[in-house]
Amino acid sequence: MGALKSFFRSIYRNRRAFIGFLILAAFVLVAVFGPLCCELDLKTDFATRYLAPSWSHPLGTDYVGRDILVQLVYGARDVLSIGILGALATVLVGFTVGAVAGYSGRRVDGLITFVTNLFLTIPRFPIMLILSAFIKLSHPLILVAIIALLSWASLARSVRSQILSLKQREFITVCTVMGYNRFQIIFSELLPNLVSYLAISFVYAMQGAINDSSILIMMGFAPFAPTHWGTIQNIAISQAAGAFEPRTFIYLFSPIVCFTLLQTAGVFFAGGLDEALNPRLRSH
Amino acid sequence: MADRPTPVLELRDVDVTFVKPLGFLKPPLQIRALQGIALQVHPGEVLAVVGESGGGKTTLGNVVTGILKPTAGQVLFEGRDIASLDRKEQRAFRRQVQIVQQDAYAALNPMHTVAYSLATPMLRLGLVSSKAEARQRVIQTLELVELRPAGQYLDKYPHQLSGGQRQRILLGRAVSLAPKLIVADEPVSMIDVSLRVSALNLMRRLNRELNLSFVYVTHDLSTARYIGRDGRILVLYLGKVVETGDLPAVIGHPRHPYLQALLSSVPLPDPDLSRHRRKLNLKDVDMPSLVDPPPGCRFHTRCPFAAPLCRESEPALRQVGTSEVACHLAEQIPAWSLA
Amino acid sequence: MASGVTPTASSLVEIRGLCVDFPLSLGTIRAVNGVDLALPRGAVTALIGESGSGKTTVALAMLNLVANPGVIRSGSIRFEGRDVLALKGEALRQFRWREASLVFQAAQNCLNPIMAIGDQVVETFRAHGDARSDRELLREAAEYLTYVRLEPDRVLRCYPHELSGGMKQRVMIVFALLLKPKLLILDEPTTALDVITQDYIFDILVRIHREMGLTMLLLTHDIAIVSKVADVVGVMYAGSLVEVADVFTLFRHAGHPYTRQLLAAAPSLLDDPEDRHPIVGSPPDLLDLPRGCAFAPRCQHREACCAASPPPMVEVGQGHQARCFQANPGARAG
Repeated sequence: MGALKSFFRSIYRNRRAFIGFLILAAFVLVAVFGPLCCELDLKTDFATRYLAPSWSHPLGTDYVGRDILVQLVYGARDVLSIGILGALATVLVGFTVGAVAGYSGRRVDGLITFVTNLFLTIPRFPIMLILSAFIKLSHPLILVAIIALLSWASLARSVRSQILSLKQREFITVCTVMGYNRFQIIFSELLPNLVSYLAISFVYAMQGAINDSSILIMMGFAPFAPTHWGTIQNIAISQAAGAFEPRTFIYLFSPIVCFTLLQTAGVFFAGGLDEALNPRLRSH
Repeated sequence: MADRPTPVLELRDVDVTFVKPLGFLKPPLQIRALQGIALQVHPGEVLAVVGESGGGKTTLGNVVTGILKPTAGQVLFEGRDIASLDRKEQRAFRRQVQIVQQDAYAALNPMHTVAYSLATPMLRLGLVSSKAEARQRVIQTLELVELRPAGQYLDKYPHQLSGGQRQRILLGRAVSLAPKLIVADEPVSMIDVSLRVSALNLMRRLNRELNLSFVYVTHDLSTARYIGRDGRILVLYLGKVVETGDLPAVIGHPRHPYLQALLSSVPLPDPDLSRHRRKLNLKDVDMPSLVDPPPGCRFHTRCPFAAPLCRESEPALRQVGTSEVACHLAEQIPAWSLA
Repeated sequence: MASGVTPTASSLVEIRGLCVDFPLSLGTIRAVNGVDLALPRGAVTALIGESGSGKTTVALAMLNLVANPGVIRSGSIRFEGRDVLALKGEALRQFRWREASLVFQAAQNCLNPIMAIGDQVVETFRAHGDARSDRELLREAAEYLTYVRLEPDRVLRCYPHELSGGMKQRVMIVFALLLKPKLLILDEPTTALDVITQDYIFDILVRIHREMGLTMLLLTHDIAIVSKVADVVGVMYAGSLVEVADVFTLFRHAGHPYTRQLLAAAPSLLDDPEDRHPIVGSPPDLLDLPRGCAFAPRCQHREACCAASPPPMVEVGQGHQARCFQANPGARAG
């Protein structure tokens, strides 16, 4: 509990990280509780199209009369769930593979590094496009899996090199002398030293997952979430004459603003994570 | 010497050779870090292992703790060859020989509190059966190493402690596992000079009260003399033992020229003596590399007393007076004194 | 012998009232607290201090190298009469290394690992505007290398990792001498080196000092080391200079309790092991120094006056001063 308190105290002290944290927290709250507060009504109603922002429609309505804000709120849930799941998968796989490679003997390490390098040299985005075109992305988890598949390798590589240098440290030698086994050393001695690095990687992995998924959705490869911000952008451009119709501007730009806000908040927050998670930096 | 009980640890004719591959076409480099080492540590004894860096003393420490397996020879723990132990006995051995390292900051996980770092090994090795019991033992350990009030240290991180306090935590961690032998590798070299004596006193107290053997590895003869005043000393040069015996006797009457050179170089806190002391001028300041040790007696390239015999054959460790010396000319070398 | 505190005409460096602060989020650390020190020209002055004593900060201040967040709050440093702290830009750059050079602690790590030694030598010369040819510069460096008993041909071509610790340290000393400075500062020059190499390096330093007439400032925590090399010794504790004396006087008749207790605490080959006494207590917390004498909490001779206000520097003998209320001349046995 004390650790949690000092974590938040450290974030609070860092102005930017705190703002980032607040914005992220706001998005999470909206994603979790927002849909409970308002009903999503996707029925088209030409009578109410392109309404200007008002009390009942804070961001106005889109080209077929649907409330924009409500769509964004529901979209937050889609975006964040893909982002968080994708990041989780990436970090879990990346850490485990990297740690085993870094801690094991030369042969196992060599094999894992070979596979890692293979994945690293794959041209990520084209492959993602191709996979999305061929595999039916019926379920969001499949998209998450594809994203993680193509993102774990660079994390694995940097985890491996950090583990390689950490394992030379005396406190790890002592663990060997005290008879700890390999997994105890990796997960209870080495992992805590990488927590701040992994947390920062998580935030960036989340951004990467959101980016990848939104572009794929915007380009029409994964049309399963009508309220995903990428879908909104897609529709805004393809169906509502996007940049050419001034009345569509709010519809087009509001998801962009949301994305930007979310990603920037992520960067700000990640900036404070290193200090917040490292007891050495915390007390100063 | 009377019939002594089985030594806690014994090394018989231990060799350690590191092989460094040099690439495709070249034969790999053979680094003979230790050769023909024989030593014994008895229960409750302090053995000071003295030598310079590159001389093999850290390698020796690693062999004693079992981190490093010798290329040849045997390591016997309480009379049994550790290579022949089964898994369960290996675990028991691991617990009974502990290490305290020089850099206390690097030897503690910076992300764990003191309480966690001390409690986890106890729990893992089954010395305590519950977290509450572990906490009790942790507090007892902190008091044993004179960190009082113990409660104040439990939630601290390593960077919040001073060097001396960290070193005591390391000692506490080692002792809490109830070992029979502790290898201390330069444990006080990173502590302020005014605090070294209290850390050394603590080790002496643990040695006497718990009948705990210490292998004290260092290049600093002053602290070796302080902690080992009732014990023995082993002097290493380029991976071989050159002199060994009871510490006061060996330091009082050093016979090997290398030891004499070491003793002449130790700084003395006396301006007159420092400026006018007898120096043993070595022919070469730098130690030869372990890759290509000199033939015959390894010290002959630097030894001011070297004779042709020294280049031709390696001297064996033999009894001269009360100590064992590996030098052909031990009897002819003039006695050494501080002034 | 010129005193270490009272400046005389023959002082190369005069430090007056130097105060250096390190403002941190938790409070301000006063790393150097009103230090007055004079380095006699052509002599070896040693500053003894343990961790947190401030001796390294004093040395860095002399080259105006105190790094952020450290701030020199007050005081002056005069080098041959010139105010060092007022130097800026090109003048400061030229001052550093030409007039005063510094061999850092574990200087072996100061060598660029991807450049051969010879190249680094040339680079050092060129950085100070030396326009001579490479060959001439290397020849001059070779002289110094032979001086420290290294083979110039081999060493100049080597990369740092091919040399041992002792060799690298000797190379660093050569670097510090290349531009023929007037003052050579050495911060713990032999930590991490073995006893034979250490002794050897001090022999070299004595020789350099004698033959080149170099003024030297040696910083160390090991009181025994200085007995061979130093002419004047200063002792620092918690940022203050607590004692200054010539080396013989310091070891025989130390005036300050800290110095005496330090001498009684350090194990050596000369003492009776049963008769060593550690200094009780722990090193001072620089964020929370006591109001009076910083050493008072650990001092056996403390009186009421010691905790009330910080003691001034008191003359204890000829060229011997101690910052202690209890150190009256003749009142304490040595």
